[in-house]
Amino acid sequence: MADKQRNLGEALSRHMKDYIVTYVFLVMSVAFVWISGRGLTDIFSQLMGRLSRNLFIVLSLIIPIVAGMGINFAITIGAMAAQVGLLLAINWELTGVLGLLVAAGITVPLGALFGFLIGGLLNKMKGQETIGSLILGYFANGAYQLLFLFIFGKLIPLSNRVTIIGATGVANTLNLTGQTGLYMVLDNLWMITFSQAVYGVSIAIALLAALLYALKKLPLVRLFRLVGMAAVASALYALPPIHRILSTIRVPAAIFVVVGLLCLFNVSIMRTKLGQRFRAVGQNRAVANASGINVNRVRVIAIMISTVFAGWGQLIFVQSLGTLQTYSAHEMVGLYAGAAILVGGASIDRATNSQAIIGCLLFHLLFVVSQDAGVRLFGDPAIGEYFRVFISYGVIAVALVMHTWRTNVNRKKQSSLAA
Amino acid sequence: MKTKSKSQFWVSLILAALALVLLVLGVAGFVVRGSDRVRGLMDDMRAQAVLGAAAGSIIDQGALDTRKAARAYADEQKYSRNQRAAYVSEQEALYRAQATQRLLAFTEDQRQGIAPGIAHTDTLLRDYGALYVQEREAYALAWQEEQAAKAPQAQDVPDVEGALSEGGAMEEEAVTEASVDYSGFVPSPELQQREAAIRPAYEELFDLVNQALPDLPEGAREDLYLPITQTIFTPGDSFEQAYDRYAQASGEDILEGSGRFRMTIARNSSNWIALAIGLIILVITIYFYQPLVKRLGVPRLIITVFFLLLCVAAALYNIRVSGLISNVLWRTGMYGVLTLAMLPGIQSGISLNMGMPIGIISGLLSTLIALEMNMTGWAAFLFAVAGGILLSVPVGWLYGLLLNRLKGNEMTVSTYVGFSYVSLMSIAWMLLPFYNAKLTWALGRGLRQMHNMSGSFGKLLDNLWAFTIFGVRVPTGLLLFFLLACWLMWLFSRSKSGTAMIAAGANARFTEASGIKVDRMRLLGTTISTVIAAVGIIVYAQSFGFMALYAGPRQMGFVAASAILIGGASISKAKVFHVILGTFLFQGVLSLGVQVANAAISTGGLSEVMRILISNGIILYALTQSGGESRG
Repeated sequence: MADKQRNLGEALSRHMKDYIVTYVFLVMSVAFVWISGRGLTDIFSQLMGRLSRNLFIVLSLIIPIVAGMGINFAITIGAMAAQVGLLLAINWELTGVLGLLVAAGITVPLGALFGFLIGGLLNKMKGQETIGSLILGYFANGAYQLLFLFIFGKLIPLSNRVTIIGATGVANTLNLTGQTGLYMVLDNLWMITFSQAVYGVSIAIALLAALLYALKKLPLVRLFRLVGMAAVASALYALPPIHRILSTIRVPAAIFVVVGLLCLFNVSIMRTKLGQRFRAVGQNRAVANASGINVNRVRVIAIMISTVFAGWGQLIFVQSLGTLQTYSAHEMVGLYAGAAILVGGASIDRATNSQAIIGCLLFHLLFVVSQDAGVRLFGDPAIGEYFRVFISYGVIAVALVMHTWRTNVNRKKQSSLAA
Repeated sequence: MKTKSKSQFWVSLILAALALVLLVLGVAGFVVRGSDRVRGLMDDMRAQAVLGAAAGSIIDQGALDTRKAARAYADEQKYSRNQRAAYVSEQEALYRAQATQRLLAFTEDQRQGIAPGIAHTDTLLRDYGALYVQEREAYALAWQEEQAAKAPQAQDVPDVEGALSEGGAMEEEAVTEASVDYSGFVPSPELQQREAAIRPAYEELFDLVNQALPDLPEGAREDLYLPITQTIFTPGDSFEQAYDRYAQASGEDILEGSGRFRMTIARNSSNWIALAIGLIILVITIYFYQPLVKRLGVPRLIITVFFLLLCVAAALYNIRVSGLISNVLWRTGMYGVLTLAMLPGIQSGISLNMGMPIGIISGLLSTLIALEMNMTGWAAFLFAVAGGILLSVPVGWLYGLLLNRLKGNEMTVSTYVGFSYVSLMSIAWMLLPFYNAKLTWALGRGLRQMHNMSGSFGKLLDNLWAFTIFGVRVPTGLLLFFLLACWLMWLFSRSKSGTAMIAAGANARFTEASGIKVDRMRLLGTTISTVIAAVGIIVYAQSFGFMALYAGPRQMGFVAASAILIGGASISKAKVFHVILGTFLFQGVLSLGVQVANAAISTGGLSEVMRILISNGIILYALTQSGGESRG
C-alpha cells in the first residue's frame, strides 16, 4: 500500500515537472479571465474563432519535434508559400472553394520545395535546429520581400487586383472579402451551433466505441469509459448555467473536420514505417544511423511535411481573418505556434496532438483576455499587448532552458555513471 | 582542394578579354577627349544645343497657340469633354513633331555663325563660375560650423517614431546630414561684377541667334537668358555632364557616322573604365575562386566582392565619394562598440551572445536616468556610461550563471532569453517611475518610443575633434573611442585572465585539466560582453542622435553578430581585428547599397531587404560551419 502510494507520489511529481508550464498557464488564464471582467460568452466565442484559425498550424509542428528537430520555426516559410498561392489565386480572380483549393494546391509543391531546402540546411546544423530555423525564417522573410516588392509586378506581371498603381510591388493589404470572395470560405462551408457540435461529437464517439467493441477491437472497460465521458460531457453541457454561456457560440465544423484529419494523420503516420523512423531518428540519431536509417533523408521528409501543413494552416488562418497583411502576416506564425504547443506541455523533443490542442486553447485564452486585464490592472491596453509578446517569448525561453538543463544533467549523470 | 576547372579558366579568360577591351575603350575615350575633332564636335553640339534651346521657346509658344486653336475648334464642333481633350493633345503633338523637324534643322553655317558669340560668353561664364563655386563652398562651411555650434538646442525630431517599431536599427537614412541652406548667401562685389560682365556678351550672342531664328517670340531675350547661359556652362561641369546637357537640348542630332562613334567613346570612357574594373574583380574572383573560398569562406567572399562591385557601381552612378566615405566612417564608429561586445562572448566559449539586449537595456536605463535628471553634455555621457557599466555587471553575472547551466545550446537559449527580456522591459518602460516631461508620453503613461539625444549628449563624440578633409567628414572622437575600446580588449586578451578566458573558450576540457575554472571564465566573458553592450548602445545613441526603447534593442544582437562574422570570426573563435574589419565591411555594404539602390531604382526598401538577407545569411552560414557532427 505504502509502495503504491510512493509510486503515485512519484508519478504525480513527474507529471507536475513535465506540465508545470501548463498549470501555471491555467492558473494565470483563469486569473486573467476573472480580472478582465468580460462576459464568458464573449470570451468563448472569440476563443472559438482563434482556435479554429490557429489549431492547424500548431499541429503542423508535431512531426519535426518527434523527429528530434526541435520546434520548427521555419514554418513561417510554409506560410510564405501559402501567401504566394493565395496571391496568385486572387490575381487569377478565383473565388470561393475553388480559389482556396487552387491556393492550397500551389502551396504543396512550393512548400515541399522549400521544406526540402530547409531540411537540407538544418541537416548541416544538427543540434542547433531551433535557432537555425528561426534565423532561416528571418532570412526567408528578406527573400519574400524581395519577391513581393521588386519581382512581382515588375518582372512577373500581376493584375491591378493585387497591386497598387503608382506603387511598387504587391499591395500592403489584400482584402479577401466582397468581390475577392475568399473570406470565411471554409468557415461557412459547414457552420453549426455549439449544441449540435457537443451532442454530435458525443454521439459519434459513443457509436464509434460501440462499433469498435463489436468488432472486438476495444476492451469493455474502455468502451464504458468512452461512452461515459461522452455522456458526462453532454450532461455537463446541458446544465443551465453552462448551456447559457455556450449555446450561442457557432462552430465552423468544416475547419474542425480538417483539423481532425490532421490529428488522425499525425497519429496514423506514427504507425507506419516512416513514422517509426521519425521516432527512431528523434530518439537517437547515432543508433538510427547504425540500424540503417538514412537519417538526413528522414529529417528532410519531416520538415517537408511540416512546411506544407503550415502553409495550409496559414491559408485557414487568412481566409478566416479576411485580410492578408502581405508583408507581415507570416512573421509571427512561428512564434505563436511554437509558444502555444509548449504551453500545452510539449517540450523540444516530445509532442502530441492533445498537447497541441490544450496548449493552443490556453495560449489563446490568455491572448483574448490579456488586453482587458492590462486595462483593469494598469489602465493601459498596451501593457496587456506587451505582456502577450513577453509571454510568447518567455514560454519558449523557459522551455528551452528547462530542456537544455535537463539534457545537461542527464549527460552528467550518465558520464558519472560510466565513470 | 579541388583544382581549377577548365570552364573556370575559359570564363575568366573571356571576361578578362572583355575587361581589356573596355579598358582600352575607356583610355581611348579619355585620349580622344583631348583631340581637336572631339573638341570641335563638342562646340558644334553646344551651338546646336543653344539654338535648340532658343527654338524650344518658339515651339512652346507655337504649341500654346495650337492648343488654343484646337480647343476653339473643338468647342465649335460641340465635342464632349473627353473628345476635346484627346483632340487638343493630338493636335499639339502633331504641331510639335512638325515644328521640331522644321525648326531644328540648322545648317552647319548657322552653327558656325553663332560660335564666336558662344565662345565669348563661355569665357565670361567660366570666370564667374569659378568664383561662384569658391564663395558657395566657403559659405557652406561656415554654415555647417554654425549649425554644429547650435545643434544641441534646436533640430526637429524627424518623423521616425513608430517607423522603428520592428526591425529597429536601420533607419539612419532618415536622419542623414541636413542639406545646406543657401538662403543667406550674399555674392561678393567681385562676383556681382563678373556676373554683370556676362550680360553684354549674351546680348551679342542673342542677336546672332536671332539671325538664325528670325521668328523668336516677344520677350525671348529675357526668357532665354537662363536656358542659354546654363546650356553653355554650369559650374562644376564634367565632360559627361556637359555632353548630357547638350544631348538633352537636341545637340546629339547633329552627330553622324564616325563623329557619333567618337563621341560615344568619349562620353562613356569613365563608365567603361569602371565596368572594366568591376570585370577585373570578377575575373580575379573566378580565377582564384578556390584559394579565396578556402581563405575567406563563401559568404565573406561574396560580401567582399559585393562591396567592391558596389564601389564600382557608385562610380558609375556618379555618387559623391566623399559623402560615401563619411557615411561609412560614421556608421562604423556608431556600430563598432556594439560589435565589440560579441568578442568576449565568443572568446570565452558561449558562442554568439544573442542575449546582448540584456546589456543594451542596462545602457538604455542609465541613459534614461541621466535624461530624467536633465543632465547634458559630457556629464550626461560619462554618467550614462558609468551607470550602464554598474547596472550591467550584476545582470551580466546572473545571465552568465544561467548560461553556465546551458552549455552547448547557448545561442538558441540566449536568443529567446534576450527576446523575453526585451518584451519584459517593454512593460517596465510603461511602469517605471520616470516623470520628466521630455521622456514620457504627453497623453497616457510610460516612456516614449524614441528619444532625441540632441538635448543631452547627442553627437558629442562625433563632433569631438571632428574635421573635414577632401569633403570627408571624419568623426575623430567617435572613431578614437571605438579604437580605444578595441585596444583595451586587445590588452585584456593578452593579460593573464584574458589568456585563461580564451583558453577556456577554445578547449574547455583541456583548460579544466590545467587548473583553470572554466565556468568562472565563461562568467567573466559573459559579464564583459554585457558591459560592452551597455556602453555600445550609449555610443550608438549619441552618434545616431536617437535612442529607441521597446522593440528597438531586439534585433541589435543580430546586427552585431553578423558584423563580427563578416569580419572573419566563427562562433568559437574571434579576434579584435574581426570586429573592426567586420563592422567596416558590413556597414560599408549597407551604406553603399542604400545609395546605389537609390540611384539605380528610386524605390526604397531595397536596403532593408539587403540588410535582412546579409545579416541572417551570414549567421546561417556560421551555424552550418559549426554543425558539429556531419553525419548520423
